[in-house]
Amino acid sequence: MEQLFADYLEDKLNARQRTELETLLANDEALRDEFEDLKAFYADMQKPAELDPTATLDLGFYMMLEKEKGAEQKKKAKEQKSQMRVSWINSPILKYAAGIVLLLGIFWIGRKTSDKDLNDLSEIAKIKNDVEETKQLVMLSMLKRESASERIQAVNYSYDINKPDDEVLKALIKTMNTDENINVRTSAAEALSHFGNEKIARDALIQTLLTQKEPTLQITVIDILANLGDKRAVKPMQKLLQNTDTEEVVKRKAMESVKVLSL
Amino acid sequence: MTDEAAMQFVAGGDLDKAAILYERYKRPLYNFYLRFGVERDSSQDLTQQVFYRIIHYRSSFREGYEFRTWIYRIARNIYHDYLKDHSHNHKDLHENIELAEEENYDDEQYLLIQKALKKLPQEYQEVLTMSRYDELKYEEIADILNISVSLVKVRVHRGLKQLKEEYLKLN
Repeated sequence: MEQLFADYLEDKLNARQRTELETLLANDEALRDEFEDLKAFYADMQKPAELDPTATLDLGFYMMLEKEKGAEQKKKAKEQKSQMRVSWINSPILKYAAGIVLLLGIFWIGRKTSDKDLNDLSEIAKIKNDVEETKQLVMLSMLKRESASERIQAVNYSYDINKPDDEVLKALIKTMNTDENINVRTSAAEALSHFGNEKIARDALIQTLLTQKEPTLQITVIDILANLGDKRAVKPMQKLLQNTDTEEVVKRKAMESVKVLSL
Repeated sequence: MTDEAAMQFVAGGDLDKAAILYERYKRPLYNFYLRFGVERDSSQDLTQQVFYRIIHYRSSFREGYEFRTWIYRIARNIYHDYLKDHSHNHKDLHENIELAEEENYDDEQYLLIQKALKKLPQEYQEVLTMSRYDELKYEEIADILNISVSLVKVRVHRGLKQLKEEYLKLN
């Protein structure tokens, strides 16, 4: 009876159970009275009007979220660094690059021993430059791979490039704007933030705010621009705030960043 | 996006998705605590703690979990910790609960039922509150309390009977 009564309250009785309950009640007057009493009492237990929490709760939550995101980013950066070390070592192109470096090194030692007046520093710089160029080539080639995880890895390689040339930056910008995978686009935006001193990177980040529709990417870019302190980002952020299609979470983030940038 | 999908993102490190879950659950959870007679400020603190735990223990969320059940289980554990922390002064806690309820709600019938509900054993209070006010299904309540669905149904029936008796005494 207890099971049947509970199911009756949730309106979950099937035809057979309903008949069983009706038979039980028809044959026992006391049970029927109790059933009717409890049913009426249950109906009287009306849910009270719900109250809204105050803005303090929002403030507390979003502050906690920012803190956790900071910790997560640090953790990711650490992991990426160690992963990059391993993947660079295992990359066949890098092995090729290492070969070039070795040859250049031998060439350099040969030159050094035969010509004492050789400018050591410029030779080292040249070798470094060759390595840097090879890294860029690897990255650009991997960005064309079909697998999204490989494209993310390619984007992550850019962290190891000290002075990217325009071709690398343009490839990252194109990836951020057009890659079909949101995680790749977001990774590209994060990679561009490392080159925030390059105007081309900052311009692209500002521009993308007006075109991207995915909240995760919008929030990432807003965060980056706020950290870069580029006041030109205020206008596109205000546009996002005015746009009715913008998600609430994004609007809140844009509002916070507009305040920071307007200080 | 479903709750479960959003939580999978959070578990994978995309913490911004936690904001989606927060916006969906902050009000139900805040009211969950208010209905247990927790004061407004403390209800906000407890709600915040729920989200803190969700983010901190995000990796323990597994595929196949139902998010609503998971979050309410966490909310309930936090409420029990809160009760334990205040158990040294049980009398004060009871008085505070009554005062908080009068402050939070002005529906006399509801307040009377709440007063009667507080006289019931904890296991009856929980199933009745979760079923009637939080609108959780018996299966969900069973999952949250880690008991069988049959036992939930038994508690609903017996709890309701006792509640009515207590209510009539107060009336």
